[in-house]
Amino acid sequence: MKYIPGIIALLLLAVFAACEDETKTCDQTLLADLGINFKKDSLNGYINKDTIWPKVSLCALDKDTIVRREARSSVYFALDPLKDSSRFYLKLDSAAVADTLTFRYTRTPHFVSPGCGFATFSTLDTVICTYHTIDSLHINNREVTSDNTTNVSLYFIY
Amino acid sequence: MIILRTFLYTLFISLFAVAAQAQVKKDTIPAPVNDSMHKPLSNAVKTQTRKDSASLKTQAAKAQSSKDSASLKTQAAKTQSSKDSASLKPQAAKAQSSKDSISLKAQAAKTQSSKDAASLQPQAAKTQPSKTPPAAKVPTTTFKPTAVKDTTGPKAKSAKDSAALKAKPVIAKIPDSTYLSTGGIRIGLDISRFALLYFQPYRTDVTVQADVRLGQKIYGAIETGWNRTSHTTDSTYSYKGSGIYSTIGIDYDFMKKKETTEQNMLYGGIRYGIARNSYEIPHYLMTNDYWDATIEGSYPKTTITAHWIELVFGLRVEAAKNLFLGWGVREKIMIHNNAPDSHPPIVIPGYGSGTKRSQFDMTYTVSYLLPLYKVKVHVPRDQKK
Repeated sequence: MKYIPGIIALLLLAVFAACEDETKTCDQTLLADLGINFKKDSLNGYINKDTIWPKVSLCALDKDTIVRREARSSVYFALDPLKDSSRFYLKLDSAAVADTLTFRYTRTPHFVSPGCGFATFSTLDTVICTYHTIDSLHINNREVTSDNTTNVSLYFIY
Repeated sequence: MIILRTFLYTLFISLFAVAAQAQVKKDTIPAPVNDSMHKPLSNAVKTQTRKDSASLKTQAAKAQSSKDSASLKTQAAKTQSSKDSASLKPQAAKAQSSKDSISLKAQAAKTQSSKDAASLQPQAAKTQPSKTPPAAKVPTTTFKPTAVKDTTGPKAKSAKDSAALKAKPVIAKIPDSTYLSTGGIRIGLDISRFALLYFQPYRTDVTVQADVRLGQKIYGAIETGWNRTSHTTDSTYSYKGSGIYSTIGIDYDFMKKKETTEQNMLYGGIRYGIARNSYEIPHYLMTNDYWDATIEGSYPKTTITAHWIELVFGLRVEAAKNLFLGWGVREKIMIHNNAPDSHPPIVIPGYGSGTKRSQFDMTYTVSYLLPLYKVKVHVPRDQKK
């Protein structure tokens, strides 16, 4: 008899869990941003460490600024959902020469959840950049989704 | 030396023969059910019972003689005072008859002791009226096995133990009870699906359940249903889908019935489910503030098949004759579905959310039993009771 309140509570929880309206709440992000992190290359690639650039500026060409002179070790931004390529301007320090990044990708509309709806996921095909400040780049993960992973690593020697 | 050895051999053989004979006699003692079965007692038992009967006889005689002597003294005093010799004769005859009754009583006690020493209780023998005909007392004596231990010797005890061991299987052979219980097809409707429409207005479900009694505690269960999902209120996308599903499995009734007519059940079971679902997304809309982009699109009609396993636990109570109310909880585990990862269905009929790998669900069923046949229910007799 003493377990009856507990059983009733569990049943109520079960009812709420079973009757949850999934279309009402969005528990995931719809931002499918591409992530880039910065690494310092020492001893010809034998030692790679995360590095922080003091004044990072980032924007898409002919678009508003995404990051303006901020100390960052990584940046996240969205690719153009209307085109299969995007170009970005990246300046890591006020004294450094800016570089240009070009991303080529394929776009896929993705149903995230009943509450969130759709987002555009991308699959990276090619990444091209200038090497004024950047020494090299490496694609870690080609799938650009909403899971907040780092897709590309940029290496610097200084 | 030879004589001594011969004597020892003879002694050994004679002891062996006596022991074997005693063993044979022990084995031939039947269970103490009626009087005639006590005749082939062994010599040791007879001796013991004779001793007991003799002692009882003495006690009974003493008691009776003390009573009778007192009465005779009183009667003699009466006769002496009245000096009527004629009245003394009937009293003497009465005393004689009382003595005779003592001897008859002792004989009855002896007979009874030969039947069963346990039934001979000295107090009962003391309180027996002497005028009662002894022949009428013999058949009324009862067998009391609890007193056997107190009144018999070790050999007789062993003999009686062997007899008791022979009597035990008679009790153990009492057959288990069986009865016929109603069996048939129970058809029900899951009314919780209609209540679900209030919480999840985008889905409409109809579920019909049926189960059939396969055995004493095993039920075969089948469930089929239909689902329609329509979600158009949200501006980001619209969704339309419909499909059917079926599950099949078994239930096991854990409830121990208190009455033969009881049909309530506390059950657990496992089901396999399969669903066929078609859905489409006529319109969806995505926006991106940075790129100032608005993307519209649609997703064509797609048909998928899903397979899952359900673990079921519930209760079903007979509210009226053959009418059952029952609730159940179930955990559904997806095995496989061929829906594309980029566009999973919102609802898989019978399973629930199409974006989850496992799903919890609750049902409330109203069902009616169509009695078609009888099932033989076997109830093992509880030895403790």
